[in-house]
Amino acid sequence: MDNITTAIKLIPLEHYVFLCFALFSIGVFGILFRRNTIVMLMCIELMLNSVNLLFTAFSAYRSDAAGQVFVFFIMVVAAVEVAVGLSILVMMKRNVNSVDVNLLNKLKN
Amino acid sequence: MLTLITIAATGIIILYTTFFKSRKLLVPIAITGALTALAFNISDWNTNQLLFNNMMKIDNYSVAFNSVMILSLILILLLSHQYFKGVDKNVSEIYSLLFFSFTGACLLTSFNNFTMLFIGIETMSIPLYVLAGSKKFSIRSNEASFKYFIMGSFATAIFLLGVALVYGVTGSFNMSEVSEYISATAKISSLMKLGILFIVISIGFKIAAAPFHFWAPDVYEGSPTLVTTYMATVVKVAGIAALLRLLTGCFIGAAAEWQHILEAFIILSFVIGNFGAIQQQSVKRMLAYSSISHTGFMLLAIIAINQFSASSLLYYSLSYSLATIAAFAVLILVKNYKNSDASYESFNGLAKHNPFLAFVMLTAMLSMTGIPITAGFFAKYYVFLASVKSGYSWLVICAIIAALVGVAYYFRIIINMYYKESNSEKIIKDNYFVISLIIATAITLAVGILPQFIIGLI
Amino acid sequence: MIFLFYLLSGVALLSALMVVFSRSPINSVIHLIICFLAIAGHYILLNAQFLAVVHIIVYTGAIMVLFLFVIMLLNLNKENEPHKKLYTKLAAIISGGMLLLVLTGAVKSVALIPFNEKFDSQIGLVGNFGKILFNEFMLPFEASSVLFLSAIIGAMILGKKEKITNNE
Repeated sequence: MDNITTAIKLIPLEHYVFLCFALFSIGVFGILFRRNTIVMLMCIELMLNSVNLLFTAFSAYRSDAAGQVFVFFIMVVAAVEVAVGLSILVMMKRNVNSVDVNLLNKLKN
Repeated sequence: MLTLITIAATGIIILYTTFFKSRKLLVPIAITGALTALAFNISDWNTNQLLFNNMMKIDNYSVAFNSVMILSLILILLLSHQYFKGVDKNVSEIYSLLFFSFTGACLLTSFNNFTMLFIGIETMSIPLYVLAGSKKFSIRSNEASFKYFIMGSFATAIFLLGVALVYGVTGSFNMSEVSEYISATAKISSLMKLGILFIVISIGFKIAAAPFHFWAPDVYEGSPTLVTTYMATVVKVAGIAALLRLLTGCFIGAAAEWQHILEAFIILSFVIGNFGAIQQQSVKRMLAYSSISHTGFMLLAIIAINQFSASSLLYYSLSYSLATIAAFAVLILVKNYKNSDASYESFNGLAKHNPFLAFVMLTAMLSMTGIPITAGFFAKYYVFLASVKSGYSWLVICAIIAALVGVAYYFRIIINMYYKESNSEKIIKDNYFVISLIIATAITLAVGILPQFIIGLI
Repeated sequence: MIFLFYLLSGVALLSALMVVFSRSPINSVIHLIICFLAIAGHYILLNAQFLAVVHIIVYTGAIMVLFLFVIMLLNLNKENEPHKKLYTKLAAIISGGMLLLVLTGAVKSVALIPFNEKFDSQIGLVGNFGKILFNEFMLPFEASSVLFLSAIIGAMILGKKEKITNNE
């Protein structure tokens, strides 16, 4: 237990913040970069997780447990979003037989 | 609190009606639930309670906006009976999802903590992703659902990053503590600014404010029309009410920061909303774009941030919701009857055989344009008044130009209805539908003649 | 300890990049799982024990398995994903990079919170966590039940196979 506490003292908070921002940016980049919808969903999960880590880091360095409870709620919502998102994908796959985003342009015309 | 419980419980009760296979009971149960919630809601007037360790704050602001939203919900439920006539699968589930989504909307008007704001936004949006795709075999509906989902989850992630930054700087999720922190510090740190920016952008996504509107026309068009009505009224009003509550209750000390963001939102919403609407051939798409431009007007009340903001926003929300519901209701009938893609031409000669429907559409369009006697006139008037008082005259001039451009597409429908000939017949509509249309039109006219009833409330 | 931090960070960043760049969705899922495990390691470093366990159970245990399940069930593991045009790829790279720059720039100019003197390493333990969750955060906890119920119903409506009927 003591070791862990020293770990927090040794690593500056900035490093955690940079790590989270990097993960978040990779997530944003992935959504714009890929066309496969299932990978886009994964990138959203990545973004949510980077935010989770950010909350936990802030909460640990402030010794305020509320931040970690908020992470718990984010996990709840992430699970719900994945359930709904994947069922939307399944439904789409049945009708269009593909998960490529660019096939979805019926509404444009 | 009882309002919330009633709404959620009605959703669960509706789920159980699947067992009895009685479709006739659905709408009465739903409306009874909504009316009970309305009664509980009004009984909270002037109580000002802080509930559950400051998680929720029920005050006149939340009661007033809840009432407007419940009224919209009741009108939409009345329309739903005829709308779901041909559908035999999953109808009760759709109703209960509507109620669950409404629970989230109620949380959004009365939150006092970022946790509640977050849970509220999600509870409102996630059932909507499903509802947008509830026409399972229509590829357009699938696409709408998927687009809404990806945009919604993206906005959620951005929102969470914003909350994380605000939490990192202030160390609290409580609105009043964050507000105290901001007013105590002389210089707002760049992380805080970024946090506010992200939060405002993500709510901008939810209310379809330009430049974060790009999903809205597609989603509004692809979703079942009834769900579109719900999205354009209840969801938008809830989002706007949450934004005003957040900005006044929490970020008021940083007003200079977010007012610039809102200025951009407003100007872009006017430009994109109006010019988008003029170009459309489909009425449903036109209404989607016009709702973007209405978002601009509502944001005008928020940017003013003075004592008139809340009341003018309430009045605008009421008039906008009623007009939108009436317009979409007539659109549903015309679309179903002609079995068309709801172009302007399908409204030709509506006044001849369906004078009632034409009159309802006429009031709705006049109210959206902002012509006197209808509620839309005073709605725009009070919003302009609020922002002029805060020194935003140049925005008001832009808004007046935007309102004038609006005449072009709203009057096109009126001209088609009254001055063009076509061989249309009488459109059949059931009693619930007529009641809903009468209520919407009557309130639009009544509130337009006597605006002080609403404007003096909060 | 510091070494562990950099190791975990490196693993997380690399696997996150691999999620985006690997061609088959299954590989993306596997890399995402590695990334999540690295994040769980960070939670343990921060002494957020409850979160670390829940994170592994929920993300790697449930969510990623769901992903794998859908990919395999629908046979989506095809690598013939058509290429995006070059300019959209460039736009993606530029916007991702800009976001990173803005975010890091904002941190650079601010002194973050100093180390808390009244430091308490016990806040992330189950006992502490539960006390706060069920006192202060009671209402959001209950409200999220509505969220779960609607997700269950939603997934059921959309996922159920039906014969084509004429809606509307």
